[in-house]
Amino acid sequence: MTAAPLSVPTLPGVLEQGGLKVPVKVTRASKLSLNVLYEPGSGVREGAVFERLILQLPDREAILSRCRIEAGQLVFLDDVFDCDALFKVGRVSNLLGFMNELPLVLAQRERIKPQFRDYVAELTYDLSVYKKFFDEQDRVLSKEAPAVAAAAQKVLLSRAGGEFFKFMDRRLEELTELVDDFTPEEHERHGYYFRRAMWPYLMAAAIMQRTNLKPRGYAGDAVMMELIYDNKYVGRYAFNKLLHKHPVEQTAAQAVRNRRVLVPKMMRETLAGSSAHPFRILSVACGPARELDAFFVDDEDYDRLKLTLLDQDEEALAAARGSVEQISRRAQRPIDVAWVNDSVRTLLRTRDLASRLGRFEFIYTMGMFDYLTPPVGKALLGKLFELLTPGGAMVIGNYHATNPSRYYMAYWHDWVLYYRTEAEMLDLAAPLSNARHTLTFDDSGCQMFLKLERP
Amino acid sequence: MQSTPTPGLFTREIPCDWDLAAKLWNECASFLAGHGLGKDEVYALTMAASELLENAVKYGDWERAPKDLIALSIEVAPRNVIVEVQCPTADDVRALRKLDEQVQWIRGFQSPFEAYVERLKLVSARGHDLGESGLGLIRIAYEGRCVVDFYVTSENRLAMSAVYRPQGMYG
Repeated sequence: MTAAPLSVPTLPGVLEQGGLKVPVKVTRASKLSLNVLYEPGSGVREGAVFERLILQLPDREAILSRCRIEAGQLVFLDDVFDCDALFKVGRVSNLLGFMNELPLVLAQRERIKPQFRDYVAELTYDLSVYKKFFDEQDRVLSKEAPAVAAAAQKVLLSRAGGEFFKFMDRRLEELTELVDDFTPEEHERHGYYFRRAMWPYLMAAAIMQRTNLKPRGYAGDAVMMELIYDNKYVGRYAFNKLLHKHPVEQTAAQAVRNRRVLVPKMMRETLAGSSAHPFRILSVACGPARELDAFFVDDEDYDRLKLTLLDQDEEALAAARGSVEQISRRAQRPIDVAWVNDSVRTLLRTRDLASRLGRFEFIYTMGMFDYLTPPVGKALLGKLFELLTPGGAMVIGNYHATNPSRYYMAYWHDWVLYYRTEAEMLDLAAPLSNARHTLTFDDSGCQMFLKLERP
Repeated sequence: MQSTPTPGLFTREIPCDWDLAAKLWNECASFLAGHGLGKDEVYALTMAASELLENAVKYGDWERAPKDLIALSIEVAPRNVIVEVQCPTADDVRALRKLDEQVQWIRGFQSPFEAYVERLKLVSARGHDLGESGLGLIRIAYEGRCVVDFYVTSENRLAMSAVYRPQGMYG
């Protein structure tokens, strides 16, 4: 037995076998095994099997199943315990615990419509054919000099990629035909089945990987937005590049790029009719704030515009900071900007929001109301409207219920929005009796803008 | 399970009581049935109301505001049904942020079944206490087919809602 260094977290316990009870101390050896410390002469030897290990956790006793001493470490024979969880959070975590629920997941496929099953089977077959073709081209290109390979891949992506895009478009049309009259429950069930069957392909495209895995805990994070703004080929292999590029060229993605142009235009309209100096702007759920690029057109803008950028996600604020710094560096002019890291759902509890955030001549929020239900949307809209100065304007973006990319987003990307009709959008503003409102669309026809002006 | 409901509003303000959900079950169900919701929809939405009421009783800040009332409203509109429950909440930023993350996490799945499965994985692996598992909210999404959301009012009341759209998210 060797003593563990004092800094190593240690738990006391007892190894039991029949009537034998051996007091031990355990430390983490690896994620799945423990170092075990015991008194010499306690009868423990290499290869010894114990019925159970009883550990004294900070708040309770935990019983771990059959285990054996192997190369001086304790390994478990019937379960897979997460030893990190034992020491980090004081919990017994059995990685096999979910096994009991697997039949529930497997049973999902029993209620899938045969036509949909056929569709997915054909789609995966076709994708595997395309993947193999593109992989073979990659293999050929890998033997070429980098410049030659890059030129050849460019040709490959535009020529064969065009055919692949047509194939994808056809398959998406078929998906729409298949699911358009599904009930909400059928959409959910078939969407789940689709993603399980298609998982390896979904992980191949940078954008789909991110929307499906949601590393920031929600869809539409700053990185996703940047992938859409950039609209580039992303990935190492041709197939991955194409499977990423296809969705970022879709109508809904174009709408994101359109609003990047339209919001600055709307801001400038309000700016032109205002004598306010400074002209204060609030962006709610600002994301990477790429649209700010078009806010600063001439020298006077740097003196006059004062920004407040709010987002729940620190990573999004960091991306926005990057955008602001880039604009500032390019013009060699400082930009007056305040940063607010908060969620709108909790921000609403602030009784006097104007004291905290200030008042504004222009407020906008894109890609935020698509996630808010009517009660939260109405509450937020009312609160933001209070922050507008007389003559000020607020613009709210929301995808329309007929967004042609909605099934692509839902089934492939696991990305569902709170779509609204014109009436539902206007209903959000119904309690604001003193607001002048207009409703417009971008060129794609799927992004709605509700503009509210304070008289 | 699709219907064409007729508009209406049901509201109740009631003191905190452990039997609240059971007491209001029949009233909620008959209001919903009376406004054109189908049998399955009535059950799902009444269940959602019950879960929200139970959450209000369990997690409301009754020490700070023992005399506050729980406010329940069920609004039936042509394109949606909104169940909302308000109760006093502590000004605990960490707890609210956690709730926010949980709601966004649940809503991040196109299929609430997937949220349910993923949460079961966590619960079975980590041995969560049921109270912190979030399974109640997932149940509203999965069995109730509702979109869960919340905000905190300036009176420090948590307004938790479940929104049901008979035509679905794409209707």
